[in-house]
Amino acid sequence: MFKNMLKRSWLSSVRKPARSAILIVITFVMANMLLATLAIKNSVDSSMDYAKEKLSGIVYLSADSEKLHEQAMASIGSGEAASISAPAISEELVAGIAESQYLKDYTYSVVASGNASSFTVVTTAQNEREQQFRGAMNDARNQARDQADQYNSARDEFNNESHDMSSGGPMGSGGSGGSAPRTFSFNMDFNFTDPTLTQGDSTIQGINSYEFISEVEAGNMSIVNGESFDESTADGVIISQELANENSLSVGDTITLKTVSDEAEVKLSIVGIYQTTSENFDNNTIYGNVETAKKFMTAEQISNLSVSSVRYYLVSASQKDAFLASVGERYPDLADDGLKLDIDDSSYQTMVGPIENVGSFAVTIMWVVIVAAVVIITLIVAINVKDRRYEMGVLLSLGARRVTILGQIFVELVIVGTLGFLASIGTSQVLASGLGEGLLAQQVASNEADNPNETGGQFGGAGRMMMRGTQARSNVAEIDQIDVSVGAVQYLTLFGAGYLILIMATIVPSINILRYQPKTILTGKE
Amino acid sequence: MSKLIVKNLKHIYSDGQNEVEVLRGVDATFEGGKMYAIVGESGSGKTTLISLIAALDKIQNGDIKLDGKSIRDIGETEFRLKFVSIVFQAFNLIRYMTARENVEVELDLAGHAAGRERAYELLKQVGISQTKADRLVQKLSGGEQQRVAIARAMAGDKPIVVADEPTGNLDENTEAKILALFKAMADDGKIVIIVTHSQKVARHAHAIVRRMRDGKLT
Repeated sequence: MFKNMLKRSWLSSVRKPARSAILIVITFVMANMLLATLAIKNSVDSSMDYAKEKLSGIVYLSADSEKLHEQAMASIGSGEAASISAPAISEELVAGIAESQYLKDYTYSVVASGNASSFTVVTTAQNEREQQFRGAMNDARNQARDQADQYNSARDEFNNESHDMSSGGPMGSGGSGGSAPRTFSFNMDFNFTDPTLTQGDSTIQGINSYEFISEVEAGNMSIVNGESFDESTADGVIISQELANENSLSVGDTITLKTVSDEAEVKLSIVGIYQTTSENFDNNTIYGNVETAKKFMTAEQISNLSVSSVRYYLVSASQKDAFLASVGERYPDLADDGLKLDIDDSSYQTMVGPIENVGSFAVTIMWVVIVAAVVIITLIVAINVKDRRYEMGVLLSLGARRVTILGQIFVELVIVGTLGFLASIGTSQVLASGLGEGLLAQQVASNEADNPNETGGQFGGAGRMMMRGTQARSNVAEIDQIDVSVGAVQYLTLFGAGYLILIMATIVPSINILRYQPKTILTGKE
Repeated sequence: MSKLIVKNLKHIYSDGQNEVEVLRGVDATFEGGKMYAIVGESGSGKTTLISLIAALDKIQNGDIKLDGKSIRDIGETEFRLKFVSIVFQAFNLIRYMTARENVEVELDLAGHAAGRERAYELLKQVGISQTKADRLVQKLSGGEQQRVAIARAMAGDKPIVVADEPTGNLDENTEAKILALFKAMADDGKIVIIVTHSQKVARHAHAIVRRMRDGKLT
């Protein structure tokens, strides 16, 4: 019986070539579209996974600027003076979080300032401006200090006079009115310990390893002579090639700087010379480890030290949530303290933006194709089944079971569908590559048109390192190439989804006929 | 010999608004080795009766039993598959198949092996040559198509053969040959029931004539 069902299916397919050809063409076109969209979606997913693995493996600890902004706005709302002060990120906190089992490494940096002693700094347009700024700030500071001294003297004098009045001066204790003498007392004082107002001519950035310097991570910096440093490199630093050339310095030489606070001399050994391709880079920046940078700070500055550019490198990007949860358990007040741990989502979005759009478009096409396939094939089968209701009635009258008749219609579709699917194997790769590349190129062009000046800016002064960190985060190229390949998974999905569509297309119209008695079908009264 | 008993068979057609009682309690007995001709005017209920005998429709009231077993108990599909062959006025052949392939469908459904040779043999018995047997049925004449339908009915080798106006579209000469084939099947021990509106056909068939009138068989 089954053999005869197959035979009837085969005969029906080959004896009705026009109908079979139409179905083959339809399934061929739809299989191509389905394979292409599946392959594009797969390629997009792979690229996004790659981007996620590459970028989302880094978790940043930083001040929660949104929260700080909200606090400032709340202060304004309550009539208080608006003030925003970034919360400190202590080394203890950074090291405590770094104990997490989900991390493979971490980094942070501290920025200190010193004055060149045994060498001269490189003059650049930028550090000239900075020097001018520092000079102006120092002048302002000195001026303010003088005024404060004058003010404090005046205060002391005034207080002394008040004291004299209260102890029986010219007015006397039993003066007119008998009221108590008025007493004025001032306790205000001024100090100038803000480190940003005491900048030297050289920046010493302390970081636990050369590889974590943001310029290095961004691919803009390399060692051209000597070697890099790490946590164990005592007093060893790397300097810029420009600074080395200006002072005829080389690897192995010792340079001397003075601290800003007390002009104490600090001797540093040059272990390497770096070169950077970044524009407007301050070539007076000296890189060493954190302990080296701390030598330029006062004890008070060290005890109140707030580190920057804190980055944690996860063992696996998939452990992001587990890591964040474990930190939340250990440091439940982190958010209340105005700090946050977050993933570099902007870089991820920059990198995957165009390709993600392609993926979304591919998914849309895929569903349109699937729905269209179901509708078109179901309609064709419905017309075919209606034409063949007479044959169905005959077979039923001969004693054929409904399921075998249903099977016959399905096998017929499987025959033509398989031919269409198989034919698409030869063409889908070309279509998928062309479609994928075309869509991506369109998205990249559209992205560029929408954001023509999307380049990282340069910032100097106190915020420099933080902004460089931010720049490094977004310094990723968008994915503008896609390797679309149709593989076994796509073919299996096509055949699986394709046959499922054929089953659905068979069942609905066939059941509509086969639910009737043979006589009803044969007399056309269904 | 098989015996088919129709007992108090009633059937009503309904179009949702009107109901027409087509069969009003039909009682009849049909025996193997005999050929029956049910005659009657159009709309008398004869086609409905053989549709129920051939299990092409569900029995509403009454019963039909073959050798004591009710169609209801056997099941309509099983009954059609194993106990009854049908020949229609419109032949009801599968158009995209050859004559031989049409016969093979029945042979396969009946579970006969060596279908191809048996099909040729059956077609030869009804006067269809091998050359014509390999032609698509739509390219055969009406008489030839009816012969193919009879060959298909013979292929099942079932105890009951029913035919609804089997010669309605055929000329007299062909009609006689077709009726002879039915007679041969009856002689072979089968219950053969032919429905016709023509008394002449009934006479030519040398069949036991039963008249259908107002939904009853006399």
